Amino acid sequence: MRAPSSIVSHRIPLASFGVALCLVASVLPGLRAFGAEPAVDIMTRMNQAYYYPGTSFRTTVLMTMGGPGTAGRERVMSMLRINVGDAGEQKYLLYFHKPGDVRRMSCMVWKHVDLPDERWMFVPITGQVVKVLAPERSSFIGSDFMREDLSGRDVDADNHTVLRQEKLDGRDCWVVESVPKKPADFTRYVTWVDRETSLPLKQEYYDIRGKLARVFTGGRIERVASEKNPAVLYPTVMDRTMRTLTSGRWTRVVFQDASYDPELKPGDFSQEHMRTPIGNWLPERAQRQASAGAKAPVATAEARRP
Amino acid sequence: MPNPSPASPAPPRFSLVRWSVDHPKTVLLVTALVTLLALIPLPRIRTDTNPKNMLPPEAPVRVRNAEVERTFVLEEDMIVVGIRNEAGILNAGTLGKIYRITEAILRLPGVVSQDVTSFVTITNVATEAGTVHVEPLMPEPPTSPSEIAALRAKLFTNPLLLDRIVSRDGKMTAIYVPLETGANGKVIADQIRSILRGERGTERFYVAGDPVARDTFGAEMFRLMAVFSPIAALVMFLAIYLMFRSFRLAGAMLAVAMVAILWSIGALVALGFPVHIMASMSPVFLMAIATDSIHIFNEFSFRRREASGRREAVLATMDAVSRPVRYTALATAAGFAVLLFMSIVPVRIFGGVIVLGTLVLRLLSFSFIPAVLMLLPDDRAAGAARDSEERRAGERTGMLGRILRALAGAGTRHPRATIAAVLAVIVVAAIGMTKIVVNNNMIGWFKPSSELRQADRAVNAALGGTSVAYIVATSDRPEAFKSPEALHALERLQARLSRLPVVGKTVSVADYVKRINRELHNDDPRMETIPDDPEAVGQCLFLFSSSARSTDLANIIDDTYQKANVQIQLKTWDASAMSEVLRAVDDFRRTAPPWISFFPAGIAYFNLVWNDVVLGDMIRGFALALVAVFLILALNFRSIRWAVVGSMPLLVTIVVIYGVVGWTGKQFDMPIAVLSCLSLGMAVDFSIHFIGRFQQRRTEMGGEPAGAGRSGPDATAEALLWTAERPGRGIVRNAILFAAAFSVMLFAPLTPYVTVGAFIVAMMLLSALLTLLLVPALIRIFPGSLARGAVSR
Repeated sequence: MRAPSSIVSHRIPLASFGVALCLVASVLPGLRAFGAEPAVDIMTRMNQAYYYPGTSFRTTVLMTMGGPGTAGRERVMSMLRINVGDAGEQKYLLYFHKPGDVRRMSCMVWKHVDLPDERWMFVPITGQVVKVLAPERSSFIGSDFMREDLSGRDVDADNHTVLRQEKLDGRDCWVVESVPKKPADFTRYVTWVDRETSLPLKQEYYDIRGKLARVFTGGRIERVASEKNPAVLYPTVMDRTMRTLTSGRWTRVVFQDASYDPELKPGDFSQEHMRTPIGNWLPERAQRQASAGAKAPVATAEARRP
Repeated sequence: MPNPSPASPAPPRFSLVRWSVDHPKTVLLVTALVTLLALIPLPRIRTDTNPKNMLPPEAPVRVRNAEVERTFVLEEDMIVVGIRNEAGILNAGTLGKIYRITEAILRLPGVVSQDVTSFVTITNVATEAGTVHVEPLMPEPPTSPSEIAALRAKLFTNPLLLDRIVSRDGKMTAIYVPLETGANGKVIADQIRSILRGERGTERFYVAGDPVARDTFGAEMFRLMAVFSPIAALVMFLAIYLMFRSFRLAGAMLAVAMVAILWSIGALVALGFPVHIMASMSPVFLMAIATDSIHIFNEFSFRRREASGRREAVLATMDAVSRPVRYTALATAAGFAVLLFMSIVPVRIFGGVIVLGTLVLRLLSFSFIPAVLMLLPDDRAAGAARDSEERRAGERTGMLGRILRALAGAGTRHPRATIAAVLAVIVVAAIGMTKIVVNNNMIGWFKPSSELRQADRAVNAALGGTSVAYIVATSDRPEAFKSPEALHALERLQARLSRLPVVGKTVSVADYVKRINRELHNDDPRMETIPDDPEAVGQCLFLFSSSARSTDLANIIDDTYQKANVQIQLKTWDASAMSEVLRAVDDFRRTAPPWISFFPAGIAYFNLVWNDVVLGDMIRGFALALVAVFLILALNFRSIRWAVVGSMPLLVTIVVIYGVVGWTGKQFDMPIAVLSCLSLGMAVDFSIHFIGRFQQRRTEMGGEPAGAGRSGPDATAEALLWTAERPGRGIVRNAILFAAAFSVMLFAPLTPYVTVGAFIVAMMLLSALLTLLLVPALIRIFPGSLARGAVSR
């Protein structure tokens, strides 16, 4: 995996590639796929733009999970992320605020490149931090997202092919098909990668029978500023939904008060800080909610209307 | 309704019989053309083999079940695959098979892969030295003894797994395979069986579950009808041939049945209705109803000898039998028309087909049959029939005639003794009727030796059960089912239900909370309890959701925590098992917190409701049909008293048959209920013929009204004996043909067919017998009043 670097540095080559490709595509429609830049590069850039922008990141996460025709149940949490080193390692901390009974729970993920990721969970009722050994492709806190969907899948795990280019909601996209190299619980997925930002706008997962099983949609791309340098803006998917077609269940994740490059050190991502978050790590809103106790309707009401 | 009378010189109005006798070829041609026309829509035939569609999708139970399934992300139907190894399943070989079989099942179309439950797919949570392991129970087949020992430990310490995917003796496991809505259980079961056939070894495999039974039954039913209709036709053909020694005659009668079947099925398809299970039975029913025309042929075989010319013989025959034939058709049509008012759509369609077919048969009786009688070559087939009749007159009329005479003679000469004997039989039968048990079990429709029943027995004996019911607990309180109090209520409900022998396993959110609480406390068995702190419950649920499949939690609790689902595995598909569960829930309600309410759902509940609706419908239909048949008898005889006499043989037959059902311990299930309703319109035919012809004969003989004296050969007695001997022969022939057609069903592999076959055979023979025995006795007992009715005509 390449060094995580900000998408900013990719803008110019991406645009020129796009122009070149359009030229080739218009001249040789039949050979469009050959004229495209390698699919693996598109997916690598997508991975960078989606999971790695900035050196660190924090946001309030509103997660709603529901079934067909239901409003769903809501979870509110704060997420902190830092990139560690140049090999693609990352650390994540998640503090839960809502519902009230889980308000002091927290999760930590150390994402490794060649080793399995490490996960911990702090359980207030026992006062213990427990290590969680769970498959990457298992549900994240009961949502339709897999653990892997939230921290990223290794680009090298799949073979990628550019299928075509097309517009999705008015945005030019690469449509890339990815087939896992090793047998998995899916046979392939197709990603619509926004050509301007390299962010995924849509993803379709096909199950082992080749049937469309899950659909990801990314919406509301905003340019989120770096805390260190407000002039640097990172395009970010602020609203994303995963739908499981077979069950009709869905999970929506909305980012709020997101900012890049907050003051964080890799050492801050520790078991100790799972129990006692340091106040200024959390976005203000979440802070208020965390300190307001079990029932904090004010923040929630605001949170519902992003 | 005036009879077409050949005696009147100028017929007052158009007579179909007369016209048909004069233009026989035109009649045959028109019949053939209309039949060809009826063939046109047949290629568009649609079938619906799903018995669930007996209730419309908007039936409350289906709406509620669909709602519960949506709320808890559940599938309607589930197949259970059992794998048994007498030496224990926890060895590398069997576990490898479980792994391969599960992997193959996950790839089958129509299977909800992500909800398949097996060793391979279950996520297990285990705590070890401060580390929570969330992983599939068996990510790949274990090989070393230590791995197998570890798996054994996981299985046998987890009450969520025990009885569900492993039996307590360790010899059996199950793979639960939920099906997508609309998937065909038989098709998927067949695919699973072919996967199982690929495995070699000492293991035994079982494929069980309601969808398998339901769809297998649906498919079998159509297959059996395709096999039985022709066989029934052949049997009838042979029986008619043996009676009349004429292939043409037998062919003509069969043609009548075929024409009626094709016209009515053609109309059904043309109107865009699918052929349901019920309507698939209509060919055999119509064939049996068509046997009523045997009375025409029977009478013709007598008249041909008596009359001078063929035309006269045909007209005289039709004159003699037209009234009973018309009224038997009317009675049959009325009996089935009652079905048009039932709440079950396929039953209504079936009723419509039979009513239409019966009316077609009646039309043919007055056009096609006289035309055929005109066209039968005189000196060959019909002549042969006549000759053979005459040749055998000595022996056959003598034999059958003697029996018939003896029967009617017993009734005529010893009416009080006959009636007393029948009354005694009724009393015994009535006692039997009180012993009838109402129940329905679709698995029970297969024979005990069938693969399906064996599979069901094996899985139910070792594991929780193949039938699934839900008790949904709801509350208006916000997040009610995070409160320890509510969870304790669920726990108590489960304990109450588990006391029922039919309940094999129950699972609710309380079990998951207890399990996680134990894991959080270092797998301490004493902590397998519901925490007292609501916050702790919330954290347990959070941990569970973060360690399970996304649907696992959704299956047992809704997003608002206001609805909790208690899943129940039942060890039997008996509708009565669900009744027991409902009674237990009712019982529990009294001690439950008042802010929690409970309602049932699931396939077992559907089967119970379905069972009750069909049964209720049929019992209502039975009563309605009785009234309809009685009214038609009254209309036919223009007399209530004659109608009472006419309906007696049928009523006694029904009482006797239900008495036998009660005494033998056979459960009163849906096929029997459907049958009782259907048989009414058919079995009454005999007394219509008997009484009608008796009255004719008595009027022809003239003289003083009956009752002049009980000793000596008075006119009434003579008329009775004549009726028993001559139209009585038609009645017996009709009953035998009917019985022959349906006796084919006795050899069916599905028990409802055997029941239907046995029931109808018994009903026909018994009501024929009772008509010949009981009607004369009743006429003798109440001679004055009845004779007045007869003479007034």
